[in-house]
Amino acid sequence: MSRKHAYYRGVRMAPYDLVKEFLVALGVVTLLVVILAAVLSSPDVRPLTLQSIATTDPQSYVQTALNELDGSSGISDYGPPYNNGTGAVQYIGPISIQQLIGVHIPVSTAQDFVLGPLAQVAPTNPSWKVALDRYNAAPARQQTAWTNAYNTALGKATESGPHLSVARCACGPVTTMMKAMLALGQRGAMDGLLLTNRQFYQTDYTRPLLFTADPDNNVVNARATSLHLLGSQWGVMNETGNYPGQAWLWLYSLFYQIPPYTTAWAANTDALAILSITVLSLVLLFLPWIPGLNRLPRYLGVHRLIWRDWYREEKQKAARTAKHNAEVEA
Amino acid sequence: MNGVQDYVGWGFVHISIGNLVVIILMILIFALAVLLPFPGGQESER
Amino acid sequence: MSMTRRTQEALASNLPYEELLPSEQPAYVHSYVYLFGVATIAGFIVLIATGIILAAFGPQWWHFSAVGHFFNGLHFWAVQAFFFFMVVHLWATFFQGAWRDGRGTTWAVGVITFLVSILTAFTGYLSQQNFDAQWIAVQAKDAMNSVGVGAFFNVLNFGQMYGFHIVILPIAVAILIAIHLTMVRLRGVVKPYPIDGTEVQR
Repeated sequence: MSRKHAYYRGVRMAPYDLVKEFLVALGVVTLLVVILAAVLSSPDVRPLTLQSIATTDPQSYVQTALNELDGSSGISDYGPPYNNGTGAVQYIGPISIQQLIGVHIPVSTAQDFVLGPLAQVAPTNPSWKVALDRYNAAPARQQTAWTNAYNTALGKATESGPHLSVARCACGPVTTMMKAMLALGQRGAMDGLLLTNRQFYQTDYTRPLLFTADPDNNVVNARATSLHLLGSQWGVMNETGNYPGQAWLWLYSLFYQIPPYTTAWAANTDALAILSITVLSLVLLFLPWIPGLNRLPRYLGVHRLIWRDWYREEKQKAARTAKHNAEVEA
Repeated sequence: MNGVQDYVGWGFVHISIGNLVVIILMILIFALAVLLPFPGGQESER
Repeated sequence: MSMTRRTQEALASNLPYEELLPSEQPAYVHSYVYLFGVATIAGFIVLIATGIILAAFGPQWWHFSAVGHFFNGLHFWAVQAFFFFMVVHLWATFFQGAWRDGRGTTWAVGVITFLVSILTAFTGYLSQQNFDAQWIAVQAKDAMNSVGVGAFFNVLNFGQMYGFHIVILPIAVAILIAIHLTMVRLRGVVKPYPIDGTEVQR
């Protein structure tokens, strides 16, 4: 006799059509999904391109490019796995797993986002080539002086549609380089240049995404904010439009709203939120073996409703037996 | 559905209507599944 | 005795088909809450079917074709249905204390299925090739990087995430569901908590 039959001994069995149940479930769920898809469709907000960013907010786009060049962007100083910065390094207590694992996807923002793409196209434009050669040949101190001067000028620049007017400055070749970056961005070339440095086929969007969504980039952040997608807006579980999102991430999303994650732990929110959700997942996983918690449902009492028919039957059976025993004794 | 989003909030809780509807439906369906009488007789009722 | 014979006999005694597909159930299996598990499997089947169509036409198709967009809609709502029923199934089995009487590993495999499904959905969101995917990728990279995972599981690498989403993770979920279901069939459905107040052994 199998283990199951031993377990079921003494329990009344009733016919149960599992195959029919499965087919009905499949039919109902399929129908439900077809109706929802037909009536409500599905969300699809077009992705941002560097071209659209450079066109809608040239100042923000050029500022991002400049920060990548002078090493002051959010990605320049990010830290592992991209580089040896410390800006985004997080700790759990005294330990940073991020730093222990180290750099695996090297990104040098100046080279990968600005100098590399410009070097690719410079041969097609003599003035760009002159500017790039001059910048590359200059000592680091001179480069910094140029980028600092351009940074100041860019802060006072004016936008008119896609046009950006930056006042004359002692910026050396940086003015031409940034003009080139803007022209390449607005013509859609940057989207490709960031992808095609290594090989023909491309499936890895690490560099374009890091550049597009650098924290300095206002366009991306403004779009995400308006769509309620920021972490602080419970964005982890939100979807664009009025569609339901990943509601099953509510607990993880909650950590980004409450202290101490948002206050004392703010510098390490991600690491500590992941640690917390891992611990809670382990509790759920090992629930059957955790004394006390594994008896919780019994005290909650929902089972009395789920199995009420069975309990009624058992009580009647017990009453009949008691009555029978009483009669036998009498 | 792709139009302007609707959100409701209480204090730090900030939830989209889409997610709220899904969560309410889950609780509702669970409650109904527990409370509705399941068809098919019990021995004692036969 | 040959290894084949031994395997055959082990299967015959531990995994006979009447056990996998019984025609009767204990009388206490008498509530709508028992239907959420099978509804989850139904959702998974719709996901696989629509996922195969979407994969066959490629990741760009649904952005430009009305038919493609409809199939994306089917896939999207099937995800919602799958998680909807899986979570309610989790609630139901929790309130039943369904891990009792030696069913702890059945529960544990169910929880792992839930966690792997979350990862599967996550990689699906990353594979959409729209603003949602862009934003989720750049946000999630910080969480992944903060615990060192991002070095190997690069959410900004579309090819890697797409591979995880359409091959590795769905196969994992399918295998986990198969193990979970086999465990349920072999061990049978857990008995109700006793009414007389005595605690049953786990």
